[in-house]
Amino acid sequence: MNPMKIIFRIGYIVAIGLASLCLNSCRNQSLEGMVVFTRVPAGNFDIHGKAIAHKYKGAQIVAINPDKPGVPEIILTPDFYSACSPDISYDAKHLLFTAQQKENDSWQVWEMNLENKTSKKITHFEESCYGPAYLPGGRLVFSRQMPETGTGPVHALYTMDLDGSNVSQITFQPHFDYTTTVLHDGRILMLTKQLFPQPGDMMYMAIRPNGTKTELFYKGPGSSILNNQVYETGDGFVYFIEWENGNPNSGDIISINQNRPLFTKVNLTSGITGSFYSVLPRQSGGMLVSYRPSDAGPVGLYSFSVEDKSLGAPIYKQPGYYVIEPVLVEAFTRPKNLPDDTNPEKSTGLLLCQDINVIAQPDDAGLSDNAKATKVEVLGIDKSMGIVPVEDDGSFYLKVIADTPIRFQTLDKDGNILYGPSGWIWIRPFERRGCVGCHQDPELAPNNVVPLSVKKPPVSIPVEDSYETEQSPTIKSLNKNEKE
Amino acid sequence: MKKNKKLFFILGGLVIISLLIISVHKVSRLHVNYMTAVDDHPLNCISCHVYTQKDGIVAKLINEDYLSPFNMAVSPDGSKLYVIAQDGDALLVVDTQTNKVTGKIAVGERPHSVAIKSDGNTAFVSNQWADNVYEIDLSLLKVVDTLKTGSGPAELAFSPDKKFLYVVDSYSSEVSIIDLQTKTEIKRLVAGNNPVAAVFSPDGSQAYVTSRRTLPMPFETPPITELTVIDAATQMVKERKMFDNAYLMENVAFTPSGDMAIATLIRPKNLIPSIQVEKGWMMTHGIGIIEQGNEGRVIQLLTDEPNAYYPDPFDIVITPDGQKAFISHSGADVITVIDLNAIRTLLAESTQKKLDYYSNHLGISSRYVLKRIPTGANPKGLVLSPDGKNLYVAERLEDRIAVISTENLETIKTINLNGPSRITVARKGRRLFNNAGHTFQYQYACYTCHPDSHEDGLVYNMAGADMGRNLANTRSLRDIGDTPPYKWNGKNSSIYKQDGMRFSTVLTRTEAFDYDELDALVAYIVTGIKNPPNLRYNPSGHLTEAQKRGKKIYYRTHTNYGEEIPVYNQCATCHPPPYFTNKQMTDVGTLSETDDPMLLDVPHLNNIYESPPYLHDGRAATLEELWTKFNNDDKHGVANDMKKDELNDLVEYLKSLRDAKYYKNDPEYH
Repeated sequence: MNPMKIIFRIGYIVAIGLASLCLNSCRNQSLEGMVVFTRVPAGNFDIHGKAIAHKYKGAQIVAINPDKPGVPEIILTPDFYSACSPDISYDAKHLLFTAQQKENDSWQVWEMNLENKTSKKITHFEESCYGPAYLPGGRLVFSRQMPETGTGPVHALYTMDLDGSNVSQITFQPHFDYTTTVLHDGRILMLTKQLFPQPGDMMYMAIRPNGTKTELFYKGPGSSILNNQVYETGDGFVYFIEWENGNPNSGDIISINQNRPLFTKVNLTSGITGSFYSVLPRQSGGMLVSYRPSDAGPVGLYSFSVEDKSLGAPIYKQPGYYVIEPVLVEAFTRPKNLPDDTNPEKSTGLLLCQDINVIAQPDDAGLSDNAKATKVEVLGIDKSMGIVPVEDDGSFYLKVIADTPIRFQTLDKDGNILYGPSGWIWIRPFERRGCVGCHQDPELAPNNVVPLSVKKPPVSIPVEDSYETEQSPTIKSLNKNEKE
Repeated sequence: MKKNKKLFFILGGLVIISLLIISVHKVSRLHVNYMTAVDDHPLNCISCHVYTQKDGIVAKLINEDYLSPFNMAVSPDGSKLYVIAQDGDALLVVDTQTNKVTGKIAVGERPHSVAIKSDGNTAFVSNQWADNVYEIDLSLLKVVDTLKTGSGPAELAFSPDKKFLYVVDSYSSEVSIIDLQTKTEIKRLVAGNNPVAAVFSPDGSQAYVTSRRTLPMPFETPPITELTVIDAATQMVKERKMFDNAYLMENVAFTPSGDMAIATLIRPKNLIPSIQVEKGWMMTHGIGIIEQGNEGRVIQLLTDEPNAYYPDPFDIVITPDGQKAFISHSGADVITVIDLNAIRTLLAESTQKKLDYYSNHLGISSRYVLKRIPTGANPKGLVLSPDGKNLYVAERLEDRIAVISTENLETIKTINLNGPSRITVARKGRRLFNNAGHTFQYQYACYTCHPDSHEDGLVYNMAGADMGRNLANTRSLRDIGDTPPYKWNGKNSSIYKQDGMRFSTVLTRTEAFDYDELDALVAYIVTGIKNPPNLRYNPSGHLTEAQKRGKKIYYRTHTNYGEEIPVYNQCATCHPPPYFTNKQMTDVGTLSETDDPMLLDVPHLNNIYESPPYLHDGRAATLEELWTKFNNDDKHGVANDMKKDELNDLVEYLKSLRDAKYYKNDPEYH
């Protein structure tokens, strides 16, 4: 063989090898300290923030180094048609995201190894899955689109091990439930919106990872729109974006205090025109925010000072794209790993209400006898599940079918509805849950008395063939409507 | 051939050793699994067999003698800080300019409080486990006199004319009034249940004394704790103010103007099924306010927040300008700063009905809490410098004093009291025991239900499978390390198991202790909890005549009618010394309809006099009631043949029972 040819061939092989090494090394480039975000083609973005789930066609997850502007960006999901909602693991070595491999695929949850940038599929549902977040104990939580049952586009929260095993549904209501973050105390903060029987407002609810003890965390005024990206900082503040009163043109950065979330709201950007779409507090102080200065321009990544409530210079902007959902590749403190007290072998759970007549703040006169409820009606999705007389102290104690959505309404002695129906709740298998009253002040701790109702066995729901249930005002109303 | 034989023996030996190692490993694994109720605990023998040594060389090597600063006083000129070292049995003198310990005076057993005379030359120190008060000459740093008191002297307060010293007798629930001229106790007043703190009103007309334990209440009714009002002029109890649904009122302070007195307190939820922690369903913490106008209205307000709790409020001090109050939360390592004007406004604008409502309101604290200041481990006593500019905080489990500026509300320095620098495993365990960080949202610490590692006198509605069943009387943790099994149903064979995963699932409802933490907690519970001396009923070991008669009844084998009492039904069968428990499960006919069928763990009886109520569900208010109300069929020992006098004697004997160490080597008890 011609020696030149040999040299050329060897040179060629070496060049290929070097190139592949270089590629591999680029692929193994550490992302420590970088910012990862979702870059959405402008035409596919929901500019008014109304969509709870982020499922933007053609979106990609991109990494940049905000401290080194010259360093080129890295597209982390080049093998996917669309990818959104990045979430960093506590050790900053892995990344959860939701993606479509091909255009018509359903969205599923994937996990990427940030060292070698390889991804593995974690969820394998027919329906789409969104908004994944790491849970302590090697698990994750995400939102799954549920099969249609006539109650709207219901999405429920699921948890599973990171290897895809031990799948568990944890929310059971006709709502759009979506994960936002995991609070330091170990609870999941869920963005939720009632779908049935009529659409409700968006609100954040805190829930244990086993689906128990759901409680209202935050709700904005009127029909405020809330963002699905929420962060809690080490000093106990929770940050998110709110379109106050549903105003589609002005998403603002809101802070609330975890210790008292319902009444500590501060709008950090009320003095800034334009609209915010995402917020990311940095451990070193300050924030990264997704912001659009005007109706015309793109959504870019900016720095923001909480102290003086002012925007810094843009960090990343690209014409034709909107930049949202920034996350930092930085290790952070793992939330508490809460124990699971449910028992999957049980089919029921218990609910105790201490006094049905505890409602909001009392006036000095108190409730008149006529305004006092003496019964409670339990409503299912499509029927009354029973009317239960309450004890003299206003307490009631129910054994309800687990993982079944129910609502309550209080009735006076003549069977007229006083309050309700309430929002949907469910009880997990073997869960024991208590509430102080119906529609009570959410910051009220219970009074220290033995409820009379727990001196007896719990009333089973559904109540079978009771006269009381037949007198249900809801059923009577339905019957009347049917006759008309 | 010989060589082969040798090889054969070597190989055989190796096989046997290997088998032995495997067997020992397997047996160890089984043993550790049994003791810990988990199967992944590291096979760390020292966890249970070294850290829990109570005596001997190993115990000395692994433990330290800490100081544990508790209560404090400041000299009138502010130049000296006097610190009670509770575990060091000493009064420390700290120079507030140099921040150095300049003196150490040995005092009696378990000192509680110190009071300084206005001339700054004399201190009085109460010795809680010695039933006396030491008078100390501060110029000589010497104890110059010993004043006898009631049982368990705690806080000290000078009468306004400085002629009398009021001593709160925490164990005998009294107040001793000592004439400082004659150094003798001239009067003893009955005060609440387990009183600890006393303070005079600014006008000197009355003293307030707060209690820790609820008064004896009927079964399944809320706790009520007494604040005793003593008229200074007559030295008589003037009034007993009741705090409904509150207890552990550790300290009380008056505003300088005297418009309010404020006490720390806990509002427990022991009557509600313990089904959740969220929304204050287990414990809430706050303050009790006694207005001096409004006919002495009593108000309770929480210092907690909806998602954050500040357990075990201990001390309270009020700035000289009457604007701010500082509260130490020993379970959360936090000082809460209260805006007193905001409290005044809230009280002025609210009806009693509203205020009653607020007593359970977790959000109302945002009206008056100015700041939370973090501290070191287990902040206890507080004292202000005379000019009100500095707040001194006794960080008990740091052996350190923090100094906080009352103006900018920041910690400006810490004063090291020169305790041991090494943090032992048991010390770490004590910190865990006292800190609520291992309960969901910091709602309560182990200490909350087990103050002083004892019990809180309450019965809890511990919801098992159903609510309203299986009520549980809180048990003392003193001597608990030697008296397994644990829980009334005896389900837990070791403290490891008791405080393990299930504990976090049903009680603390947050992440379980990790194994290092469990090691530390167990080490503290087994080695660090001491039983106070039974000075009240058996100070010397010599029984009274009644106690001697009671002892005979305790060990009797025949009834008054001459019938033989079956061995299984004799007191000493189930309750043998030194712990007065056979550590077995039994049925003494005391289960109620609300109990699941079960046998009950035989409780130990050392210092049983200080643990009312009695029985697993606390139905018996007194020891006597065990037999007069709950032993109709003589299953809990044969007692129905006894006359009232005999029963009294038996009860007297039971009250005489002391710490187990007194019975271990006593031949009379073997």
